[in-house]
Amino acid sequence: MGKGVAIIAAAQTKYGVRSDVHLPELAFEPVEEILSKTGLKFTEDGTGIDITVSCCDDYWDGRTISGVFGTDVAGGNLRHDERLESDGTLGVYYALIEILAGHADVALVISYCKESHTEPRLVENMCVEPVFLRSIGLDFLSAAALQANRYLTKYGITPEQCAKVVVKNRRNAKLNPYAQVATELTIDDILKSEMLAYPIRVLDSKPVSDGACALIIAEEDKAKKLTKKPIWITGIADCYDLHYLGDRELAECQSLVTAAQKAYKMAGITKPVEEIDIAELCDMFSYQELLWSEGLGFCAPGEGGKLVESGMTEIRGKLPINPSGGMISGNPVTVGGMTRVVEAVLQLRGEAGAHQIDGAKTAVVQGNHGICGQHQCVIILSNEGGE
Amino acid sequence: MPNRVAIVGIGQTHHAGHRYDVSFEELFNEATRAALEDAQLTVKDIDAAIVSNMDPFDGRGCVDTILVGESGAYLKSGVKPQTGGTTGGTSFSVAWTYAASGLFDTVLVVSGEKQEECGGDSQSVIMTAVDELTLRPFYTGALGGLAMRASRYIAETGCPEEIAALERVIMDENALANPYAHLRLGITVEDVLKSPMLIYPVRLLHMSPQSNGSTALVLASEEKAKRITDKPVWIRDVVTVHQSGFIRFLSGLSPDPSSHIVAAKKLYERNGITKPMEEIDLFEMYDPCIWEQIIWMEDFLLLEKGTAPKLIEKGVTRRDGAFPICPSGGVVCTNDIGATALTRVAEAALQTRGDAGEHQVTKEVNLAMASAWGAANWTVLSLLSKAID
Amino acid sequence: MEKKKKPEDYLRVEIPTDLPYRWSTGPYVGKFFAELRDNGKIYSSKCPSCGFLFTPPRVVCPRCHIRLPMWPDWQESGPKGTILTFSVVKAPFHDTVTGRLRKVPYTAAGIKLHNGGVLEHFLDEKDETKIKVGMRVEAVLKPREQRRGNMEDILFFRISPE
Repeated sequence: MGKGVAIIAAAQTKYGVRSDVHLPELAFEPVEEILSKTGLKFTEDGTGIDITVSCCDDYWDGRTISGVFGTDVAGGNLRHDERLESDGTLGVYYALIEILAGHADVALVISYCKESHTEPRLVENMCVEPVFLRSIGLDFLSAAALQANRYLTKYGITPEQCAKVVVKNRRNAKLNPYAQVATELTIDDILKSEMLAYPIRVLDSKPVSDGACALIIAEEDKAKKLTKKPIWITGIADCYDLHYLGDRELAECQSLVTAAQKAYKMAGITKPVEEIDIAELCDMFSYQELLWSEGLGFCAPGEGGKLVESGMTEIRGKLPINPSGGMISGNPVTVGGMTRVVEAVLQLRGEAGAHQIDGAKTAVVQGNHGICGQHQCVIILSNEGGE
Repeated sequence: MPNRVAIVGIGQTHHAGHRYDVSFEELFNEATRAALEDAQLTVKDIDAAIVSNMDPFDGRGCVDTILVGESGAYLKSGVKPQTGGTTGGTSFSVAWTYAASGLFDTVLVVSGEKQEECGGDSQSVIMTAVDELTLRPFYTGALGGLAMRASRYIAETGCPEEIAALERVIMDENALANPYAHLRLGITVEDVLKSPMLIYPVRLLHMSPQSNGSTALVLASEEKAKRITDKPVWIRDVVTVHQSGFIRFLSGLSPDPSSHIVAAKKLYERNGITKPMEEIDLFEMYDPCIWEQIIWMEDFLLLEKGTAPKLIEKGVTRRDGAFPICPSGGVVCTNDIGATALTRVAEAALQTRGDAGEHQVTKEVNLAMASAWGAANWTVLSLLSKAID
Repeated sequence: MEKKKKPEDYLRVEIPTDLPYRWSTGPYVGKFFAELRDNGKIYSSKCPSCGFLFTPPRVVCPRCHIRLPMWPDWQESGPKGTILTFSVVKAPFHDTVTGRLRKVPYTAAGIKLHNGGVLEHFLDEKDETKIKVGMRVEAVLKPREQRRGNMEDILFFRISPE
């Protein structure tokens, strides 16, 4: 990358069902916090925030051009305010791209979504191809179930191994004040919970969630002036897979492998397990933490189950995955990827509180968008460097 | 010095009232292939694809994920910008930024709309853009706001209806010379004046149609661009200015200046332009209604209120005039919303390259401007140039 | 010459779609609606920095980007006001709430409220020759027992006799 780009501040709401607020108010919470923390203002002369990038979605919000009312929150009045319909990680990526292109030095990136005010399965159904897939009722859950079944069958991953992810992450969530659902569960609890779509049970999936995040990203000279603890984006890449499930080998995640390889190469990482201290992944369903771990090169394809059984990915293990509790403890879609970035930033700044991984220097974040993680984005963060 | 980017491939479908002959995916693929063919490239040469539409009009969400096969995005990077009517312009701006970042050399941008697949009517859908708690019962889609602005303009300037009719005929003449345009009617001033009144003072023929179609561009960073083509169209600058989510602005009830004026001033200042109508050769404006074209001409060109009617009367805006506006026929002749703003850039690029065929303007084109409009009066203003500097 | 094909000649898939939403009103609009329902009062909130008045109140001033005051730092507005702009709608569109076509004609208007901001609502007059920008109007509310805490609690604005 031409110049250094760092995250200089991060904020998030507590995740949960937020019937007490209208969507713009929810989105404003982390924005208000981050502006107050940094003292930055929206400016045109390069002394403050140059642009805002927002990630939001029409169908989740229940309005077309859903960003319209987010404009006020994003400080978009008479300013450059960009809107993306994608996961929050893509918002971070786009802000970085704006900075590398020399079009901005400091960007506010926000993401917000309220799943609780609509029927998530119906909204997800709108996001799949209508003629072939919508008419068979495909949504994120049923698609994930198809992928889970293929993955479990091909590699002999067991429901117990998937359940272990939930046990681990929901326990981690107890140490995270922002987490939505924090419970002490046993594998049995999960295996006895109601079956939603075989093999995915209620406790194998994330709860309905509302929330919002905000980050400020800056080019290196300004980043160093704005904070003593800039978190550098050392590698970043995204990749699309095909849409139709039948076109893809569902037990692999080709787009994640491609994105991860590109991001690692950028960051100079050749041995992920050795060189990475923390991973924050979007585990919307339990099997996904195992599959995405394989895609990120933490283990060989098909070894995801053995990885979680080894204990290596526990919060005090060699490579903790989702010390925040992960998406399975409650994040909305669209926001989930940005939450992972916020959590990684907190960890690398030493500000993660009870779920802090001591001495963490390098984190990998994974976010995705579309059915069965069709569009993947990988971000490598480090608290060292600044080229 | 920011990295320079050029448009190296331009493609569009025939924009039409109906494209029942193709699926949504095939429609976008038509434009994609046309742009790649124009650039003499294949999908293998693309590093990223920026794919967009205006969601509810196609009854689909996240179309970038649905169109992966057809847009060439498979195993590549990309994102879906989402800014309502502005989307085509925003997508162009995003693609420009991708290609200027140093991370991607060749970027495809494709935007489109297959409005016929939205079973309701688009005006109803547009109404979901306004606040669900307090504003929806009162909103008449985009039309109400346009009508209110037009009636206020008439009250303030005395602009006669004949001027709007004259300009509409000029747009039709341009469309008749543009094989890709949707409405190519052969109308007269009389036809326009007799056309049914929708909401005073806006008549049916003043309004853009509901079109189906797609437009695509291939962008490349400087070194790559020079290798791909000997007629690159350089992107001089793109300015994005949004406006508060007070749809009230569309009724003209906000005390703030229009985003058009803010964007125009920023673009001119950044590029050393002091006399836009002399230094810029043509303007592909996003004009959803002929009245908007008249009113916004004054906004974008920083003219005194009431000046535009006189310019129209003198023939300044014609293809053979001193400052052609929408030589393609513009949005009143073709409006496939997701594509529309990108089509403005594509048409401005064709003119700059001298490749607009029958609808090429008479004068030489060195600098062309294109605007995108949408949502709560959001603007993306682009400046294209034949010369690299 | 090939016969021109009609839409029905092509194979198409039709999917009617209902997307239900239950939007929260939040502390700003929620309180505005509660006051409208319970006390028949219309409130506005004023930006402490630029003085712009917002009716109904909302969370952030788009120009100053600061949080706007919450209840009770609001000012009572209306029920009188003046017409800033209006439009008599004659072409029916689908109402996104009911899925049915709207009844026309109806008049939408932007009303500058006395001691308040600008509110969008209906006028009861549907003849555009009888409406002028600047006319004085007054809000007509539903009787208390019919009010539910939404914008329909105001039936319309009636033009005041000269």
